[in-house]
Amino acid sequence: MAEQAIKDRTAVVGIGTTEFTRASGRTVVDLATEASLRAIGDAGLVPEMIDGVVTHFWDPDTVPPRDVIQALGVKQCNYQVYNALGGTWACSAVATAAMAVHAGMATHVLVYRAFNGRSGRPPRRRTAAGADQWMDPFGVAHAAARFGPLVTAYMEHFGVSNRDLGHVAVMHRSHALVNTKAMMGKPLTIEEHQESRWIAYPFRALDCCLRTDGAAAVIVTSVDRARDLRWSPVLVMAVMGGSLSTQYGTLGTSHVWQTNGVHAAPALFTGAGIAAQDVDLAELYDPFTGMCLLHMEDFGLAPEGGSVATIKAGDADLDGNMPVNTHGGLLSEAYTNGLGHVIEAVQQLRMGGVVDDLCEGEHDFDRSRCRQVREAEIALVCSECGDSSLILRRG
Amino acid sequence: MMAVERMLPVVDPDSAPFWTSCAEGRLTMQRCAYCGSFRWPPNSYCPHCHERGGEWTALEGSASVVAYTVVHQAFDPGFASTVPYVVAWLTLDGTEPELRMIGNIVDQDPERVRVGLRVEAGFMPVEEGLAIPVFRPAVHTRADGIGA
Repeated sequence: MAEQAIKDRTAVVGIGTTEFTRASGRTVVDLATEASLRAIGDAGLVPEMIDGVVTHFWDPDTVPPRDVIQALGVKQCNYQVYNALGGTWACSAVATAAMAVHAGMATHVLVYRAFNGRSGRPPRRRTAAGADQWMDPFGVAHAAARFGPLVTAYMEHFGVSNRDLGHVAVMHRSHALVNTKAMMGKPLTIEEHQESRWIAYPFRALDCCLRTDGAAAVIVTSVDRARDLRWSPVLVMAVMGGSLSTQYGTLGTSHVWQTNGVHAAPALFTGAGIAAQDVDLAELYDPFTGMCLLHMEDFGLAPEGGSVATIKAGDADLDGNMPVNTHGGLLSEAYTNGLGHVIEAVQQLRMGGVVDDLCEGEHDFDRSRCRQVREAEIALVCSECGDSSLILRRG
Repeated sequence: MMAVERMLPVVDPDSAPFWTSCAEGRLTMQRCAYCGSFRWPPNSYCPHCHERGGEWTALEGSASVVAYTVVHQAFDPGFASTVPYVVAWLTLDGTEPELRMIGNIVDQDPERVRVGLRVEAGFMPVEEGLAIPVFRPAVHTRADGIGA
């Protein structure tokens, strides 16, 4: 494989979110519109300039692009995608927008993810059809039961304990404390983690991500167009978005706990023309503490079985060798289904850096108020099981 | 018949032979008539040689746990009275390539489930003509001593 043809041809130029809450009391289209308007404004654009719209969802929990197009007053939409792959697809959403721009189909593509993910859960299905007949009748009704087995197998093999997972939760929380968007604003201790109730072994409540009402959005355009906009562009170096079934053993990985990331990572890094050690920070899908560990290892950011040691040594902290989930992730910022990870990477990489930490002036790297990573040039972002991923760099 | 309010499978043309044999108390898996490869979940075409169709072959029902989770909070109300329960990924003896299916481990203290646990299939009737496979710790051990 060679470097991707799309390398450095497109850029993320705008980001926006709503407030993240437990009960918004608002419609999903309202949330989507607010986040979209914020991202469009952040880019220095106006809604009439949007000509492509991409979103992803899980279950029927969101609104389709046509509703948001209507709400924004978009005059001509050349490309839309309404994708059902949920948390696996956040990086693919950005990749899809970049591809539409690179293909010349659209100039300014809006990507949004909006849902009342806590207050507005869809009603329970009554029957399990298709692939669901091999899951729901066996009590696999929740992501914890779906992904728990991978993490249990990993933990038994490497001798990792649930207390070790607590260090992952504490690391995420420490980053959320300097994120004004974060739902979780109090420090977390290992003891509090250990006292939280079991959801599905190996996960306690504090190993599980938040549930959130809210929306997030980004704007993708061409690198040439990006030069004229408000911020320094954050360039899309490489994109990946494939998947193979994990639970049936058809993935072809060496170990049962490995995710699609082991396949995606070599192609992603080659596509970007870099190596894993060139990455300055990583925003990795963290629906559960243990899944973040698997993603760290599958993308080569920690040795096999070594991600807990990496975190305990502080290497995933803001001043570590490989800062991970610098916004607090799904565990402590909000459950944005992965678009929040993209937004954080963009903030870290663009001129001026993070805007929603507690710094009032220049970033001073005082970790009681500043979450800007020093000399951040290249970021890795990955979605659920490494099924989609991005390399972004400062433009 | 046990009254179990769990989410039931929608039997389809691909899966019907599996569910029928479960109701008859047999664990069967689909095997390609052309290349002999086993496959799971059920599909019309062999993913190895792409021949259509296949034979449903009875297995002994013995299996090994390769991964598991112990569910303490039932997100499906149908499992509210079942917690804590074990969801395991199981490799099935006698399949090549080795098949992996999801199943519940029953009659076993969830705290004592480990990777490598040897189990045997049984069947729990849930309604007329429909039974869900369940797995219990194996009484017998294999000739190679695994699970001893």
